[in-house]
Amino acid sequence: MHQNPEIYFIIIIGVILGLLLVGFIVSILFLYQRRQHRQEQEIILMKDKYEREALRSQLEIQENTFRTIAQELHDNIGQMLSVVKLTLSALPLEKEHKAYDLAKHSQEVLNKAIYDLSDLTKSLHSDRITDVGIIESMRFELASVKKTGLIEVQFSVNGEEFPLPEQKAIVLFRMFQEMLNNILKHSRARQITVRLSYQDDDTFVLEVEDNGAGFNVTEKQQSVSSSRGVGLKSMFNRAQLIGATININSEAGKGTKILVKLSPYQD
Amino acid sequence: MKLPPYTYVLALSLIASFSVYYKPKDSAFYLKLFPPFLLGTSIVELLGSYLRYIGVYNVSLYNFFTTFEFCFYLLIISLVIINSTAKKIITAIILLYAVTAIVNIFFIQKMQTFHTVTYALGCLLVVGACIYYFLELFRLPKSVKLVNNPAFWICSGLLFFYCCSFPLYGLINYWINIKLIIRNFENIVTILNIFLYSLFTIAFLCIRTRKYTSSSS
Repeated sequence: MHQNPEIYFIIIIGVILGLLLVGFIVSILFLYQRRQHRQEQEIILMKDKYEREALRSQLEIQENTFRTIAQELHDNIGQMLSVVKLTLSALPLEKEHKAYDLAKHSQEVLNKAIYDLSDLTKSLHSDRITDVGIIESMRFELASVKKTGLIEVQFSVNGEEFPLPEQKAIVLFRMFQEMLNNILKHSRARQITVRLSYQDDDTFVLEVEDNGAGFNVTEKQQSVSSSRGVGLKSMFNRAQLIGATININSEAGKGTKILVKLSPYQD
Repeated sequence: MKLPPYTYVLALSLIASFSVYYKPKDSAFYLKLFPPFLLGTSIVELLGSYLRYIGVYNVSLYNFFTTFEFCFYLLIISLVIINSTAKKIITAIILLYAVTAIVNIFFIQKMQTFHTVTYALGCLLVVGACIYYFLELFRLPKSVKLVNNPAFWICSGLLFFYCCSFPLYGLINYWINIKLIIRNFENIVTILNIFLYSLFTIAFLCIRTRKYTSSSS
């Protein structure tokens, strides 16, 4: 063989070898980057899943605690108050007796305490929400608010009611309680309007509107303070947990409108 | 008779390679092929040194041995990789390469000249196969502990050795006339061989370490 073809052959193979090595390094880098990207995505998904699970557990614990408290209030304190009420009513006091007015007043206070305790028990007990349904539970909550006489309440239901899954209904109701709580605590509103809408496409819409002080939603959401915006974050987390969308429109001095949309049969 | 320094590392690697027989269930088949191969390599190295010592031109010995070496390494890589199509392709390449090399040694470059053309081709094939192995390893869905993976060490050694030795052996028929280069040639080859056989030794011992750890836990 002549030396020239031999050297050409070696050079060609050398070039191929070089290209192979360069290609190899590039491929490894490309694959590494792709794997890293995939890992990042997996971490985000895992984090999201973990957060959901943590929230779910937290809510479960909360519901169990509420249920236990409600049970205890009803069975223990409620019973004791009833016994005291019976004892008071059985007191052989004539109208002329100097302790009569005092006993009567005590009886009235006791009646109110029993009544309030009953309301609190109903509000806390999640079984009641599933038993009577979300509409009645909300109506009951609003009636309690209305009774204070401080706020005017409007409540309406549109569309044909369809049942909501138990857990989603409980979470939705707790969100509603949080909204009412926020209105009572911060808004100084004079009027609350609550609209429930059961739409034809199996979407449930909850709309809560007040004419109170309003607030800056973005500022509240981005607040780094541990105490500020906790209720709001909790509402967003709960909505995410049940797959609902939540939209809050608010401006300082122009009230607040919260819209929650839930398609209960879609995952 | 003076033996090249790397033959001691080769002997060490040969001794280490016998460890793969101690736990036959735990060692992969390809590893069991190494002790006879390394034994053969040692014999060839000794024979080569002896022929050189008595003044006999030993190129033809290395012509055949390097051809066998390429076929052996390609076979090892075909046993290591997972993809069955790639395995078949590599098996076919081994046969084709063996025929090409024999034809080249006997009829084209002749016995008394180092078969640079088929050596360069062999380097390319082994490097290509190693790269394929690494890509396959990298694309595995599960992460692999490379430190305890003998195939990784073997392929790393082969990739490095053949990438570096390619320009040396590929152009040896030209270097032979340049005294300065040929003087350093041996040193470079020694370093490359020491590196290769050291990595082989690590490959044989890394599974032993792993087994020891698991049995003690």
